[in-house]
Amino acid sequence: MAGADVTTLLIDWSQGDRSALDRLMPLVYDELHHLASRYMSHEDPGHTLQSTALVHEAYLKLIDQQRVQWRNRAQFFGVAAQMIRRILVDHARTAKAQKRGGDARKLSLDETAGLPAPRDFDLIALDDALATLAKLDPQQSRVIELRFFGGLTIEETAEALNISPATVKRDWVTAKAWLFRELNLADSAAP
Amino acid sequence: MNTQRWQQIKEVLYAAVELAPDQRENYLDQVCGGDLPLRREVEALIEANDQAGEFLETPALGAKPAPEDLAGSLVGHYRIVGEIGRGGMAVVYRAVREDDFRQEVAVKVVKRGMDTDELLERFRHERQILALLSHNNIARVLDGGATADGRPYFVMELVHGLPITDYCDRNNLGIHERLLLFLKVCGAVEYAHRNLVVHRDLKPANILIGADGEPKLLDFGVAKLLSPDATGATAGLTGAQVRLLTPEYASPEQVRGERITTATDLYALGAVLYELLTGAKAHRLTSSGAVELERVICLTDPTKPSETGEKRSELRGDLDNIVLKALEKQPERRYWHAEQLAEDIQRYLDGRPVLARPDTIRYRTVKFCRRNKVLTISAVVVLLTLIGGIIATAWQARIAQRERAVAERRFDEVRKLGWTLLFEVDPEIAPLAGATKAREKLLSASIAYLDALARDAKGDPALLRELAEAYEKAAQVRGTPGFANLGREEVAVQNLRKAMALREQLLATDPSSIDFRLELARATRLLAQLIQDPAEARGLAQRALEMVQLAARRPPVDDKIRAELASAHYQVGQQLVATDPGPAIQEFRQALALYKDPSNVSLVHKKIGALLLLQRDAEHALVEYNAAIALDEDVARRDPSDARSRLNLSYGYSDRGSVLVQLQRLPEAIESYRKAEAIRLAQATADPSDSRSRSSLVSVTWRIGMALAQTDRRAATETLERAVRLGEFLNRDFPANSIAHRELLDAYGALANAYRIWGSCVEAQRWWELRRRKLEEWKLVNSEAVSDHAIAACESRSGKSDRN
Repeated sequence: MAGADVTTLLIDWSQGDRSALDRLMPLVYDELHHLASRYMSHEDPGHTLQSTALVHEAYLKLIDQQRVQWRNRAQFFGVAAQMIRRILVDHARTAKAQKRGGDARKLSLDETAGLPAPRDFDLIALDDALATLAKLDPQQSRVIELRFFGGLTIEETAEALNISPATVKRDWVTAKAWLFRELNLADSAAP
Repeated sequence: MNTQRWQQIKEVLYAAVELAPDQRENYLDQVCGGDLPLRREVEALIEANDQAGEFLETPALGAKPAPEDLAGSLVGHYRIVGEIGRGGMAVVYRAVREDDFRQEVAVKVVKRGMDTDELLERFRHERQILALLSHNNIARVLDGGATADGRPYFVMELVHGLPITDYCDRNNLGIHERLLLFLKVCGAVEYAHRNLVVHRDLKPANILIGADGEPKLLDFGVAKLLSPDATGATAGLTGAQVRLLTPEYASPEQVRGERITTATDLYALGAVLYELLTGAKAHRLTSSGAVELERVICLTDPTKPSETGEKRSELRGDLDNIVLKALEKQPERRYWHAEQLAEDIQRYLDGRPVLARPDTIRYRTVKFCRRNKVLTISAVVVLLTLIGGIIATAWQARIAQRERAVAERRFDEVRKLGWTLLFEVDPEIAPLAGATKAREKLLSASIAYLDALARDAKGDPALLRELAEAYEKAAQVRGTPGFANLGREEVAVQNLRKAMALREQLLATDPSSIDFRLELARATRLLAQLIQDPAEARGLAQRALEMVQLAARRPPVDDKIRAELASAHYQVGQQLVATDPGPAIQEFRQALALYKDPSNVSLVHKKIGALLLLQRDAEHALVEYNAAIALDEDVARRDPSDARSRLNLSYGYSDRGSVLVQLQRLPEAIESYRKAEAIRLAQATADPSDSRSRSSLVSVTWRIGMALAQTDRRAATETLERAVRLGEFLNRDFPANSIAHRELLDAYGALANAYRIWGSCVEAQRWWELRRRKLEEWKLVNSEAVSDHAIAACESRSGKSDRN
């Protein structure tokens, strides 16, 4: 099924075919969304929801392992992180709209049982701040996306962006400080 | 803000957050210069970074490699049952033994990010010590290792209970009851300290009170395993490390990244007591930024407990003073050990006057916190790397001999550099506890090129002299008694022989030179002090004395000659101590008349005292010791951070203890010993690689045990067994150190002797046999006052204990 398609698209993309990415993304999005929904609706109570697990599982399902190289895997994770960001932010916007009395369709993602620990910041605000950061330093914005939304480690992020782990670390630390202030979280944090 | 500006900010920001907090300001001064907007922006982001904590660290969809995965899995021999709680760097689980489901334990799994190999290595080293911590009020550490995916874990006794503060509040305990509970906590801390284990992270959450009302202290020794530097000295904390502290209970030295000793726990105990009495924390922090942390903890005095809580009148006076003494910014000004704090509380409970008094001369804490900005260990390492490069270049240039002038100049640079290292850098770091390893590195680097220089130095008197001095210096750090040393005596002897040979060469070039003669005498004397063979040592000391006397025959006799003459007399006296105590005392009195420096005067007083004691004249010995201690206390007071003068003071205390034992004034004796013990414990925990303080800790411990043997058999047994344990650990870490050998032998001997006195002959003989085997292993002869004969002749008074 999709397996062969996605693998081909991924290889094409990694060889420089930009349009392959446009076709790749919806497929990845659908799969991730499907997996996330399943986790959250307790179809599979043995699992807990984690970005990393989600991405790995989607990867296993979508990609034909024998045809791709290690670098393709990192690239796939990169795309997946972007997708997770979109899924979560869309979900947050919908939830917000509903609160205001809108009648948007309730996403299956709304079943919050498996949702991560509550955050003391707003995902939508983070998404906006990341967009601002992307104008200032696109690479840093990607680093945050891969680490926070994709659940990638420093090394995996370095692999995905084809930069050194030291650079990832520097971008990660400084971008976090910038975002922390941008989201007005400073001074309100408990000691 | 534009992209370019952000890149600039980013670079400066990252460099700054990687620095220790106290170095950042300096760095920003340099980098930002007059660019104030840049500086403001970076400072704001540093503040944000310090506060960010766990921000974004957990991925959007749930936790990182999930700790939950562990439920049901096997960690070591233990099956994980469920989660108990999680902290900044670890998750604690409930688990059962795989082969015995009734035995429940707590398993603490450390989060990733630490070097697992290093941690495991450290754990292997510490586990014996931790496993032996056996106290009713301390939760035992049972095991440790790494999980299948490489996360380090510790297995601990499972404790059911409430944090001490919650327990007291929930049960509406009054001040009196709270203090009684706290006394037990002090007892447990004292016990751990005597076994050389410092907690480092005492706080209510680590002091649980069980249903039976008994406190249990958790995590003893764990914080040290997790700390970035096992010796306890760090070059200043990074932002991440600051966050690992529990700021409300962290001491100034922890915030500043300075050496951690038993005094650190005393401070934390003070903070816990503060909270128990007032319901408020000693320090209120408005943010977790490093700057704020340092400001509050290092510079701000806590409000008096009586002015904080509700029960004002009860706290005013004594309790205020006790709490504030425990919370002194300067470690040396706190209680010396937990038992002393407990005793003061007991005095308060009994209505007797307490030790703690408000300060009349308030020490400037600001001064304390800003001081000690000396060379740190890491700076030394950087320096060494630089030097390595310069030396290599210099030698290449010299060997090639292509440009002679350049080569000469380079050679000179190396000389100067070596000079700086040995005589300027080394004295700077020498008095700091924790510096031994750094000094060792410094010196082996220096010696390597000294040897190279020596091969080339023939005929140049100035260089010969420099070299000789450098070898002597190196010998001192490597093994001369009285210096923090690494137990490398043989290397030290070699270095001194090299120095002597050079000094002899020098004197041959100018036999009339007083200086050359004095210097040869000095080198000879230093060798006499270090050499093992008594006949050779005595010959060397005598030769040294004759040389100085020759130099002193011709006036003027200046201070330099006088001091060397004193030292020579002293060394001859030293060599006579074992065989001819009478003449030895005469030599010492001669030295006493010549010495001016108070530490030397005090040392000689102590030597005379020791000999008088040997001759059973304890009354007069006590006079000598009291004179010595008065001088030493004065020296130690002038610079409380000088490790050497404090160790020296401890020698006075312990020897006076022995004099008092002789006079059968046992309570006074134990009090004096305990003072010595407290100093040595603090130093041994600050720098476990200092064999000197650890040897002397073994010594004072078995002496306390023997003083107790006559009155309290149980306490005596506990203390003597601890002395043996400390001695065994010491010898494990320093297998070739003769002082360490002797202390362990003495500890075995003391235990054997105590059992002999109690009439438990089988036990006595068992320990005596252990001692005999060690004597054989180390090829030493029995020099104990207690003879094989005495042990063999032991008569069992009550056969009962023997048959158990």
